[in-house]
Amino acid sequence: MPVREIRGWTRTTSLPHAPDYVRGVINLRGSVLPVIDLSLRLGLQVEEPTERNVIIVVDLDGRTLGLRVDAVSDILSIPSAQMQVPPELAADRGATFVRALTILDERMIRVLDLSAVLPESADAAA
Amino acid sequence: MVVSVAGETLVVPLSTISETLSLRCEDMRSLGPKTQVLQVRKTFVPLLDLATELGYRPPQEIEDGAIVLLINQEDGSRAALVVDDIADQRQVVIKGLNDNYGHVRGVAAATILGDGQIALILDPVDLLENATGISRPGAGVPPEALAG
Repeated sequence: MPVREIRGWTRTTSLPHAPDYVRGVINLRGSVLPVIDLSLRLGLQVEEPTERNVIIVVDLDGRTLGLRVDAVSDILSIPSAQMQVPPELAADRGATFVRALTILDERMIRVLDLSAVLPESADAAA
Repeated sequence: MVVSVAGETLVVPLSTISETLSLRCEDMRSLGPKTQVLQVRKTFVPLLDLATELGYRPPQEIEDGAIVLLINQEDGSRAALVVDDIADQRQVVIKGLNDNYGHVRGVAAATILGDGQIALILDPVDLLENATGISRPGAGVPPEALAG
């Protein structure tokens, strides 16, 4: 379970020479937390961050990152048997971030591949 | 030393600053189409707009009276950095960036200010090694210089 906590939006300090989806860094109880804008990273419509946005703090391979999302709507437990492998369509760039698909109340839920969301500069440094 | 640049707060290690001065336009000289130098007494030092070097804003005309930090590098070479304002001089606790993010060009580390905001600590040597020297508008900016 990579999600560690959920917190409200605070102003970020921008990082020079960072990709556009890296919003900057914030102060998380005394440590420096890089924040990635998930909608920018996934190539979705982007609005300027507001007070109502949420930062999901995740632990990935020993690194702690924040993901900016519009809102958190639910927490689900999905058995792995109900996870489907997504069909491969190279045309959709965002699809590379989807690890699995599942159906809930007739709605398709996409399971994010968090390791693919990491900024490339961080990948190079790791 | 705590300075502000394009709305961001930055910390410049005091050990690298030899002096601060107010820019006089008549001391500014063009070296090439893209680069400018500043005459400080009898010597010339490269003049860089810190906000442009960090990609915070596109190149713009440097105005008379702008605040300049004179940076002394280890090898004895010097450079002049234009900042918007000098806010404070204080000691800070260094927080690493590398664990969670990776190395950022021109940035040594980060620190947390009294209001809880994070300020980046500049690495002037690293910054000047990678400096584009673009400090004038319309000088042709490589895309990476404006990213972020």
